[in-house]
Amino acid sequence: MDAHNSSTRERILKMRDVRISFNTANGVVHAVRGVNLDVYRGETVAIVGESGSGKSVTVKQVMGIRSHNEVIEGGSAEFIYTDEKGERRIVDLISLSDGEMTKLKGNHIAMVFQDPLTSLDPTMTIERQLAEGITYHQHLVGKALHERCVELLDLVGITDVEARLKSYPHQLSGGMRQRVVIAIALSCNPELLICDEPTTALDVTIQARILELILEIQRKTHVAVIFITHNLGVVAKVADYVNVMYAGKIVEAGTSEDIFFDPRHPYTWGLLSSMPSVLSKTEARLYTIKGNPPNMLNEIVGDAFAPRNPFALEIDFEKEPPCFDVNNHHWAATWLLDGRAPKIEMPEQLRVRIAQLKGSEDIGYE
Amino acid sequence: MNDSKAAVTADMPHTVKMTEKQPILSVRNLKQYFKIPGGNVVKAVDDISFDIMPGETFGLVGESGSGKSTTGRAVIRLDEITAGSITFDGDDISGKLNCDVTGRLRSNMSMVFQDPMASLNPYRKIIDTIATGLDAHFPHMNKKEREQRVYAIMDRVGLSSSQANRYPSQFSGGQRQRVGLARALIMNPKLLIADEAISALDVSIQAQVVNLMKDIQDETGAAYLFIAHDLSMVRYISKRIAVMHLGHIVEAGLTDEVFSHPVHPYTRALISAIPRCNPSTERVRKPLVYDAEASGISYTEGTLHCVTETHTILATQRQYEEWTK
Repeated sequence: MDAHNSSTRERILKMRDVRISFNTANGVVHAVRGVNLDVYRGETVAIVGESGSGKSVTVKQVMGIRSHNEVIEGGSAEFIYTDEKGERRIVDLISLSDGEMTKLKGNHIAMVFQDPLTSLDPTMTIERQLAEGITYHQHLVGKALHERCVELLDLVGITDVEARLKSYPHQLSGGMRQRVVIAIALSCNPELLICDEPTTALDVTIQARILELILEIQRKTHVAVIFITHNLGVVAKVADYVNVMYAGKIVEAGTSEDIFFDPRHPYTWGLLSSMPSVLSKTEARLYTIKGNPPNMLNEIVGDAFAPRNPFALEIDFEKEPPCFDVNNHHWAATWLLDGRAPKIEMPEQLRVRIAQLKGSEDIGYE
Repeated sequence: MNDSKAAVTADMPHTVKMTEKQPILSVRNLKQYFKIPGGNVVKAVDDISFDIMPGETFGLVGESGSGKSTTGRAVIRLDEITAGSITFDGDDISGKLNCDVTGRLRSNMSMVFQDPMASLNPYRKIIDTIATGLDAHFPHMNKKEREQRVYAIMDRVGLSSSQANRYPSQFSGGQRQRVGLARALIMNPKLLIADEAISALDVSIQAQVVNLMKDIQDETGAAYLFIAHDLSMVRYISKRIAVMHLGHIVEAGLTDEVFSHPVHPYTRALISAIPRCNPSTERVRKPLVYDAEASGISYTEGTLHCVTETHTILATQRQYEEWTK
């Protein structure tokens, strides 16, 4: 995979030590506790985690979407882009004013949300919604604008384009709506596309087609994609790099192959094992991660995953583990990788399953 | 044509074989139509038949709008059915119910819903929510005994009895679903309908709840009608599954049979659409695409064909020969 060759890769987003909390009636919730994230042109970075792990809050910083009770405690998010005059510019998205953010939003950074029906305006035709961003950022009007709209719907694989442009969202099916949302996101040729669980609300058959579409668009336009999901199968399909997030921190990061074939963090082990396998014979019992995610209202001492971790060491309850490098593109934050730690291998059940996966030549039913 | 369908189902070899054990639920030619404004009729469930044996888990899968939830609701009589017969534990429950049968039905069949927050009353303590069944069927049960029964079932689903006086908002999603499960189990039902009971939960919590459901089944011998769109979880929990599409059961059989040798093009597309956890093959794998209209398969023309004794598909004779080649 030539992606590891860092000299040819063009970094477009560099997040460092981002920390976000929320003031709530019950106290301060530390939702994101120091996240580092790098995104390169033409690559897909996935963030996986349970609900409440802070993955959505992290990427919403990139779009400047903040709620009224949100407090940015620190960190930076450098975004590198080429502006209209063809100049290379670097901005810090976290300290950007609303006015400057508006120039970037939709134009250089775009987002696709989970539910296509709520992200579309029910009172506007598809064409008007598509045209909104293009008119604002690129000042296209009349025939040129219409042609651009047709081109966009073609790009996302919608047939009978002229009729669809005149339809309203409720006249389209769920998969079709999500295609429209993706077309809107792509309308100004953004450098960075953020997909926040874009297929969670869709059926598996539709999901498969939307994922294919996102991959195809990426091949055509070389857009960088941040993909948020809790479905590991989806990650395997689209991601080049995977970040596993737990309780507001990234606990393991690496290429897809690293995470699926050589996971090191006990939480990643748990996630991978608790997914029932589609291919292999049914196991007697599914592996479960005991307990519930921590309450982020409380201060977390040591490793946040320690109370649920059957392999937890004593130090896990006292000191937060640093990131240990496995190789130059794979690291995990667990004390198990420390040289002084006892040698603990991944659970037998998971090891067998990974061996099966590697050996299987499953390419569907074709 | 309907007759031919009924005949095949009734004489299906496996049904004959299993006569030593009567099915706990037997659905025959169930139809559920809804009238919508404009004089149109939506055929949500169109002539389906299936059996559930005591103590087994029957999975019903399909995409949204395929009629799987409608089937679940029809079976527990939340909706008036249009046609067909439903026999539950020896009672015919498809027509107007008399008092006696209603009582038996309400205590022996229960349901767990998809959204744990929406299915619990936020103003009621969970002890009262869980005891709903007891209050309805044993209104004169003394307080102590009621409490004991609730504590016992809470313990069984992995909740602590000290949480009994809390409100639903004080629980996490997984715990709320356990409350829903406890409410459904308190009457010791013979059949539990789980309508997308785990879809709203996180992956790690899903596994917990599914394992719990399996354990409870081993203990109490309850049968499950497990309705879901997540095929991998259905495969894990169910002994037999039926695949629904557009109101018809297009394929049914033992879970392993259906997953390892899917025959119907829709089932094949559905199974191939599940993303696999293997990045190196998954990136290049192209899932099968199935378009009911384009493929020209009309479900109403099809009759049930047996691939093996336990594995049936809905097809015309010509389609059957083509698919099983």
